[in-house]
Amino acid sequence: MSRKSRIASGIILVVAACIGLWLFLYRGSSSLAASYIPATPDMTGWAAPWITQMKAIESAAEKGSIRDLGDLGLNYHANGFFQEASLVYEGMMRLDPSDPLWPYLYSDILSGFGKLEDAIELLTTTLGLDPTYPTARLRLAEGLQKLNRTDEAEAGFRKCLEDNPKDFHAMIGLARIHIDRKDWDSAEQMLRQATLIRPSLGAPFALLESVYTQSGKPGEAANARIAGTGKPAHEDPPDPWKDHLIDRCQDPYRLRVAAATPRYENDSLAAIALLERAISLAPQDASIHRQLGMLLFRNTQPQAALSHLRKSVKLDPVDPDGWAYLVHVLTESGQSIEAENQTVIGLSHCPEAPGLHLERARQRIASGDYTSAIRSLQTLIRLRPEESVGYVELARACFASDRIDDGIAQMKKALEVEPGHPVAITTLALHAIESGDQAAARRLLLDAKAQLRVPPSDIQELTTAFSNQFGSQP
Amino acid sequence: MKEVYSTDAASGCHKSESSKKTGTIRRNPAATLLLGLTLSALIAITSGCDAKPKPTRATRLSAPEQVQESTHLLRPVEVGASFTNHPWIAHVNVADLDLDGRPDIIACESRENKVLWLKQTDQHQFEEIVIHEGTPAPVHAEAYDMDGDGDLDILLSSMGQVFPNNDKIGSVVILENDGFMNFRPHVIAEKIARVCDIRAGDFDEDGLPDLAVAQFGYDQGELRWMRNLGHDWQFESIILLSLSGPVNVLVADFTGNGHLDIASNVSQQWEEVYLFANEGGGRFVPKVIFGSTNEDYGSSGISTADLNRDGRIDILFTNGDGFDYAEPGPRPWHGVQWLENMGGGFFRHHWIGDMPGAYSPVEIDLDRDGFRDVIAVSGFNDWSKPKAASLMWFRNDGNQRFEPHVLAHHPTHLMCAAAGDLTGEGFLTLVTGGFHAYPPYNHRSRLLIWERADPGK
Repeated sequence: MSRKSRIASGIILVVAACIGLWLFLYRGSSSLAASYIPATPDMTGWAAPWITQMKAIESAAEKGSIRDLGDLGLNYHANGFFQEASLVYEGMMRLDPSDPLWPYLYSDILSGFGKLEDAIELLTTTLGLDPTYPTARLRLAEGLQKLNRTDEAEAGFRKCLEDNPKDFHAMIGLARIHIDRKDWDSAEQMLRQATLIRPSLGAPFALLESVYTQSGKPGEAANARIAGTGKPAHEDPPDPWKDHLIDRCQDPYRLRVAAATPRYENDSLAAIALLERAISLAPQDASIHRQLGMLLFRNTQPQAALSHLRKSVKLDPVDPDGWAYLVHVLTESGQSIEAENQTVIGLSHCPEAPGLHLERARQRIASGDYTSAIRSLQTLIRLRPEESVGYVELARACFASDRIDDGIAQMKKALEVEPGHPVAITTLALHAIESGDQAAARRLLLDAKAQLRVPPSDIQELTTAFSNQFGSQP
Repeated sequence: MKEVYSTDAASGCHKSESSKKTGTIRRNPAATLLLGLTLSALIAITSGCDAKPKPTRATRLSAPEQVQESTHLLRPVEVGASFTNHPWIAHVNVADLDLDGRPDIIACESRENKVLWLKQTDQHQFEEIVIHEGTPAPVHAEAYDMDGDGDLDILLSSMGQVFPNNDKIGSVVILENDGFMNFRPHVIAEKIARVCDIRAGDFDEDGLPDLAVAQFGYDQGELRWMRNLGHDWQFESIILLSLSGPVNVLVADFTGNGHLDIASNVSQQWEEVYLFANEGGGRFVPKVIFGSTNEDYGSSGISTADLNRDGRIDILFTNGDGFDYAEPGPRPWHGVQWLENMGGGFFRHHWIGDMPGAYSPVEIDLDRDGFRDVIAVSGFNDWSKPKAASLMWFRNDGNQRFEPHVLAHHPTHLMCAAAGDLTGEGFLTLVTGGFHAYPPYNHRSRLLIWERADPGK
């Protein structure tokens, strides 16, 4: 063979080898990618365009597109197909091993199902790939804490605080470790910092109350309890790697649930957007219109709220909650005549709707028709004997119509079904004072003082009334 | 040249590794490499990788088992008083309360504030007697001889109000049995965070039964044990945990050191199971034995078991509380689990099966094959679906692999279950309670026993 021939042969061989190598790697990864494509789950009832889209993504993944395989996993995860998403994430960790997103999202699925040890392994992998993602570090510390690996958890929380001194989630985690160790001072310090950084969150106040109670500071405990009242107990940390999944969600139920989670409670516009998407997917679902209506009302958009609530009762006229919310919003919006009309219509569809009987009673009280109001409230009590609201409202109606003894009897019933009801306690305390029953007055006043929902001004008034009546301090 | 092939078992595709064998092609290693790569290409092209492999790979998430329809196995039979309203049976229990040799049913009607005794008068014949009323929101009743007089008293947990309320309106009540089935209430603690569960055990080993108390509260909850001071129903409280959400307490020697320990599941945003290991004399060392970082996990119930019959007490565990957020409903991660007691205070978590809205796990050998199965009820399934299960059986194959069976689709809203040898034949019968606090209301029940549809099998 001539030199030229040998060179030509060599070049051909090199080119063939390169093509071969490329083909080998391509087909290898293609077949590997395909091996992580799960069997298509039952998608009956899902939106047709989404099913088509999923088929296209799957087809691309079958041809070896790693990007599409990842896309497939994200879509499965976002829509609650966790088994399928898990398989894809296993594949992505092998095919795209440098991307921390895959072990992170996989850990989210596994921890969601209680498989914390696996989740921790994956979170460790995540942080090995990207040590800067704060939520992964926080989740790892929280997971270690739940696995009783306290020292590692503590180190993790401290690293979170080193990276972000305002990380109140880490402060709560550390405080819990201090509480377990009965190190009340450190726990208090950590929780007080958390309350300063996130005063709208209930959890640090709740833990502070426990810390103060345990360390013998009842006054501070009471203050912490008052400060935390009505505040949400939990708030998820920002988690952009996971949050983007909701954009892929095609399940109206999941969108509804997501819109009601603490993450969206402080972001009503985002919650409204989720519910609007849910409605676009399930326009005939009355409950979504109802939920959106109430959210819009809380977001001071009463007209839009009424539109959705009207739609809700039209779609499902036998849903008592839909009518109750509609009437409530009409009343709060000052449309009292329309509210009364809708109450009557609602009761014709739902004669046993407790909320409508309550609204009806309130409407009758407002117009001075106590007899009708009392009738409605008696119906409400028959339907919901376990709730205090019926007894309290009935008591008020009785008082307004000068049936004092009947009203007191109803307040006593309210206190039976809800032992700490603040209005019932203070009303009965005042009645005991005025009727000269010193022992009962003293007992009820003590109860009122212990009930932190009774305003201090009411306590002061009752104390003064007691002193005036009995000539001594309670 | 020798080709060494390794097979990726899952994909069925071949990966090749070239290894140079001395003496095969000596003069031109580059040519060898090129030739190898070319051959590899040919192999890759012709190796049959075009066929889509079957997705047989296992993931770390257990694949759900195929659920079998076994609604023919059991037949629900109403016991106790008839009803027209929406029953709120928060708890059922089986105990021979009057010690007449026939196990009875004890239940809490938490809407009517009643403690019910369903006295078994004949086989599966019950007479319902209200043994206590007026304590607000009774949610758990446990029979135990607290005063050592030979009859069974009742430990009554009172939430004050069932639905969310952070007021300190819970109470610990003991209904003292006078021996003639008259019950006198003793309020042991009141105006405390809402109480969900009370169990008895002699933790300080002084011969007197003490109490373990789970207080759900709402924003503030607690777990305490109450030392029996031995006179006038006086107890001293020792707080073990200051977190919201304790649902249940269990009392058993989990660590095997001869002292009674306490276990508790804590829900709300914490979602943990704690073991308070008793080192003796009531010196408890807390330890988390399970936790989820999913704040919506929905811990709903725990009970003791010994699924693998190794003599160590395991813990059955459900997560199915669907009362968070929006409307009550199931979550995809709801299910039944067990914490296998590995000894020395160590537990291993195992998934038993998926079950939306799962509550009240109970160990029972339902098919009488000698292996201990698990049943659970559902309080929060998607009742708009006719196939939603309200009662499920997880059949143990003997190796703690569980096959899920639906035992009933309705009645719906079953929140509590218990099992007891009601017939005295050595086999357990299921009892369930219906808790109908939210719609739909079309498949209601109050108290049911579940008889075998074919008693011969």
